[in-house]
Amino acid sequence: MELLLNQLINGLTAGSEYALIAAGLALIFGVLEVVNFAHGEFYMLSSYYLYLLMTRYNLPYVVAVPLVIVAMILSGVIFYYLVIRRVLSRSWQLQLIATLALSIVMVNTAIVLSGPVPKYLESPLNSQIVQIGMASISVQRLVVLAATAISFATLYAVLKYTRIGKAMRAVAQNREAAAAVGISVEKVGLATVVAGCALAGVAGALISPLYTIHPGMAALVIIKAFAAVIVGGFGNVTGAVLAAFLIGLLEALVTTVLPSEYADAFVFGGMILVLLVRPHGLFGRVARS
Amino acid sequence: MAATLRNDAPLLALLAAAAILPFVAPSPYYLSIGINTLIIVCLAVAFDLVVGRVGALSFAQPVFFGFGAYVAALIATTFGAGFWVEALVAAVGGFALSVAIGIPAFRLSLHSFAIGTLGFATIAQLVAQNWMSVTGGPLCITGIPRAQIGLPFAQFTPRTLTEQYFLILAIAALTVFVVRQLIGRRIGLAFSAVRDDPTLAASQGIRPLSIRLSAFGAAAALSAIAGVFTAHFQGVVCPDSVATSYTVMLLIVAFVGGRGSLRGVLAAAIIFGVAPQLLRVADEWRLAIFGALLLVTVLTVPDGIERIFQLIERALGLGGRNLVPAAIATGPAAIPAEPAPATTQAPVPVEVPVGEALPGGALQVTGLRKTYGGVTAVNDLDFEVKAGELVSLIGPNGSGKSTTLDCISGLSPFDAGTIVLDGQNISGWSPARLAKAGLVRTFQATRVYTTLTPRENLVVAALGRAPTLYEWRQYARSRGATPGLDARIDDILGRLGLAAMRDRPTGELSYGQRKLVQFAASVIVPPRILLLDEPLAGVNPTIGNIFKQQIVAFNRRGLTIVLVEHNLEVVVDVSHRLIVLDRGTKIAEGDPRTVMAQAHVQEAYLGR
Amino acid sequence: MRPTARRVGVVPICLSALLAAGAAFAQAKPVKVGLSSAFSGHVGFIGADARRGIELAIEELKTANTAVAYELSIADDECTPAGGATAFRRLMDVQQVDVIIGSGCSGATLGGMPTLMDGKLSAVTYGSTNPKITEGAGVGGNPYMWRMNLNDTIIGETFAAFIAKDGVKSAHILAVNNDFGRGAAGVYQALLPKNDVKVNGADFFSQGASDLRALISKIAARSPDAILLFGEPPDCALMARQKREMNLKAKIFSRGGCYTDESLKLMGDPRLGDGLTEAAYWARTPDQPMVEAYRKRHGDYPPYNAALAYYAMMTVDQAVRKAGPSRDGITKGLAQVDWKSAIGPIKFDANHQARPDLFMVRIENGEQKVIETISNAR
Repeated sequence: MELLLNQLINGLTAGSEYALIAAGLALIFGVLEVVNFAHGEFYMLSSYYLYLLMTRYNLPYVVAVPLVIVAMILSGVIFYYLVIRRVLSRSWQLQLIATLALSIVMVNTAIVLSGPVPKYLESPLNSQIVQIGMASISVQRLVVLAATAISFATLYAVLKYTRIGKAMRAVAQNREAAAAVGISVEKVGLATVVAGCALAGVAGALISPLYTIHPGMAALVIIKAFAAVIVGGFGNVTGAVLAAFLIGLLEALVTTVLPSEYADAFVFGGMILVLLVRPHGLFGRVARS
Repeated sequence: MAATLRNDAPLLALLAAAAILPFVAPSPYYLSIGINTLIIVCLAVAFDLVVGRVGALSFAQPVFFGFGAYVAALIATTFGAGFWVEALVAAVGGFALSVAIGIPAFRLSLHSFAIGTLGFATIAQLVAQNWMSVTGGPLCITGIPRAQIGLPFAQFTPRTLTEQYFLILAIAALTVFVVRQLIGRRIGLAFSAVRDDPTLAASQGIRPLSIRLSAFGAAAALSAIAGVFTAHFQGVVCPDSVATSYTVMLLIVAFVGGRGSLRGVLAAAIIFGVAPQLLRVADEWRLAIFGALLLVTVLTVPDGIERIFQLIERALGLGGRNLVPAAIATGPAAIPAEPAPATTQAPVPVEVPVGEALPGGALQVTGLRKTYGGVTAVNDLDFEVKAGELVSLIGPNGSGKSTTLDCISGLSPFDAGTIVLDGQNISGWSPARLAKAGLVRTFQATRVYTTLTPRENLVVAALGRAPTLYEWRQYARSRGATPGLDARIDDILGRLGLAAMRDRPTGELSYGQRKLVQFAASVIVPPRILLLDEPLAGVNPTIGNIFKQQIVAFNRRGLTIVLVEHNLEVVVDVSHRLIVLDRGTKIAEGDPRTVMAQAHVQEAYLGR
Repeated sequence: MRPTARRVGVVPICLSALLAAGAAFAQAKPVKVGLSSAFSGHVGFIGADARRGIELAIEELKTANTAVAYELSIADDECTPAGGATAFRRLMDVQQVDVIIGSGCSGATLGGMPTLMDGKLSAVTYGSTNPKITEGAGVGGNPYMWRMNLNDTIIGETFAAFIAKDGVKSAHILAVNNDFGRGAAGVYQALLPKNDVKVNGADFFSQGASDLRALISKIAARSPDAILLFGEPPDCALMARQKREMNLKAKIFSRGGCYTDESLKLMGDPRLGDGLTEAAYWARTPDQPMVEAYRKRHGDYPPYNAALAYYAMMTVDQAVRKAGPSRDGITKGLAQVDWKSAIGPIKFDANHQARPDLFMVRIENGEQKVIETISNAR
């Protein structure tokens, strides 16, 4: 019972990490239909921003985090104008390859610049541990869990109630029609990419103190985030977030009863199964016309 | 023969140059670079069959390479059955594995296909990594002996680097040969068709899944054979062999070379194989540089090295047909929506031509209903079209005309109703099956295979309409002259005023001309029922006139036609009967002039 | 019998002749040493570390052995079998080296081994621990592959006995899912029961995995006396931090670098590692002059890859002293090496495996401390 409770918490905290990353991925895909293979690298980038701010400029953690998000917004603007805008009207294969190429550049540049040896950042919240019943959890993990909820609620509110959010949904439904009624696809694209990068920034700034920072840190997480986006229904942000939690829980559960190396096989086997039964994902909308 | 020789000359020269390398290389190291490069050539040329020829971005290619390597390693280290058995098991097994992966993966839209195959690749790597009793997991299979190749006169075991080099050169040459054979035959046309427009292909009777699986399977079998060689060459096979990092390399080669261009991919594979070894000075930056190279290529020269080849050819005045028009790389999204084009054509003979009689079919639609979300697009629609009749479906925008055509032609599933063709219930049939049964449609937007010529467009359409067995026998034939069929193609293109365009890429034609090509494709093998979706929309009067003539001509010969059209003047002129739809419901039916005179029809059209 | 005896007699004569010609010879033709290791990608630091160690050795040899001069070439093997084959080939045919040091990774060493036969060129690995290398070398079939460091089996025999002696009755294995982790897990699953330690289970995590909490919860529920952790320094640091968070009390015994400065630094608070014991094939003992020399040059203590590569280079020098600087001479010389190094005796057996010392290192108050040096010499 204690084990089950522990694994439930472990699954939820792991799921919230996948969810923070998957949300940005799903948003960019949902609105622009661009599969952003470099999304994981933005997560990595934001962790390095945090590292720079805290070690080079000796800023305390709570000051560095908002600055990281500002830096990620600027990075998102650059990303949009440098890559996304140029491929937005091209075929989806070219879009995918362009972001994949960017991810290769980013990872390998990070390896050269920072060295492959990982870095560690101490967050003050890391060593504060609270007891929930029999289970214990660090405050930093609770912050990640809360941040996932807040980010998702904010995103939901923006999409639902703001002008730009409504424009995003319009572009997601039909880009041509949205353009025809005077919505600037360019502005919406910029807003979407920036929002996606900011979400990656939140993920990096909050998650990286739990682990270590290194150029390949995104590789294992992003593939789970991809699985979440697929299982959740391509481009469906809510679905992706729910699926991310499902994946986290599934992993914890499989790890409990089977040798842990099977956990990934269950995740990806499950993903294939979902694709077979419901090609548009568990929570997918019906394909657009 | 002469033409073949001319086309093959550069490849043969390349092969000859590669064969000389062992005798001029300053040290065996260059041979080992050569071997690695040839492995990349094998994989990249096979991969391009999938990504370049049928347009499916697969991340699963290393799975088949790794599969071949593990098959060879397991056979060689257990019962040692020799190279041929290994290659056979690898190729057949690789093909079977690709079908097992491809059938579910190709059910996905092409975006999801890329990610889905990434999932399969991840699972394959997990299997290689964790199935300790078979693959040895991360401890690898080691001590793989040299290949034992049984030849008619002796047993050949490549031991020296030179011998290994010639073995992989032979495999690479075989790979290029097989790929060229596939592209050079009619199935190559089907590949292009499915890549350019799978929906059109399906509506012409070609099953995109079968075509894609053929390319996917052939590429898998070829990659697996390269894997067999690699296992013996390295003497050790590890889970890295199936790693997705190989896909990144293959994508770089395919895109930098130019998708669908054999020479471009060959050039890129050679550059990618050789350059890293020569660029050792920039070791740590190497991967970053390759990533940047790929990014710049994709952003600025989507056709990659192929584009450079084309520029050189143009500079040298070697015209000829571009094998790869820009449309492949830039994709359909980049083709600008063309306004009504200026007419560039000579006036066309307008008398109604005569031909042999065509036995038209009869169609009954009962209780057809289709809803999207909460919106009912078609609501309990009943109508009938008798053999040889020309019936028009009219109504304002959004009245459900195109949806009705989509349901009848199998393109979108409907919620209720039955559709009967010549007494046979055809509800729920796939577009391809309907096309083979003689129910053919055209599309409102121009849908043609832009990288094929009009002639090839019609060849593909004719193949699709043939019975499946005959279709696949035809795929094995050369894509060159098609006696009998060519005469019919010339006849119809001549009648449509497209004779001069016969062998130009269809992507270069004007909007109206492309629409005519689409029409020609729909009647190249006369169907029993032809559904025409706004043939006159957006075309200039000259072409509109041709359409009108042809519609009447084919109908007079007996073809049953269902026409959806906004040009009421033409509709009233040509139709036997009108059916008027408004918001998914039939509001009037009957003789054209009578129907048009009814007040509620006028009201539906002019609005309230 | 007779021919052997005569050859042994001849060697000293050759040697003295060589030594006589020493100084002039050194200027004329340097001995080319090739280092094959990973220089790019995620494990690129392995090569960079090893390179520093070898460069230090070569610098010292300028005065210690004036008879020959050494020159270093490097090749990137990316830690993969294919990379190993290419790198060995490149060093052999293009750089024309007289001996290869490397690879630092078992996979690359296994991939490169067959290549050596073509050029009759010897390679001395300083860091690969996969037992398969020993099985294939020397009388195992490949006369050109040598291993200076201990392999997993030798370490395992000693370490398993040590763990049992430490009072452990049950253990759970937690290992990185790569050749090192899988290989080590196999060794200890076989050896611990022989020492009356029960193995509760074995779990593997992906290389670079960050959240080990689900695994730790599961292991904690089975409450073993000890966890055997086979991973790299970042994995150890994660384990130490998450173990604290999860309040897991089991002792940790490790292999793979949990005691290293890098690992302690990554823990944030090095005291989180207290009580961890690692069986290390290299550790910073006070009687190694190279440690201070390295620190003088680079400002930091040597990482184990640097130290082991240093000793591999010194082993090569021993071989050169025995039978001359050619490829052939080094191969013959390696068979004769019998060197008392600062990390124990270096002498290759019939499978070309040397048996230097094993170091038991324990973290105490956030610092590494060698608690026992165990000789493996037979």
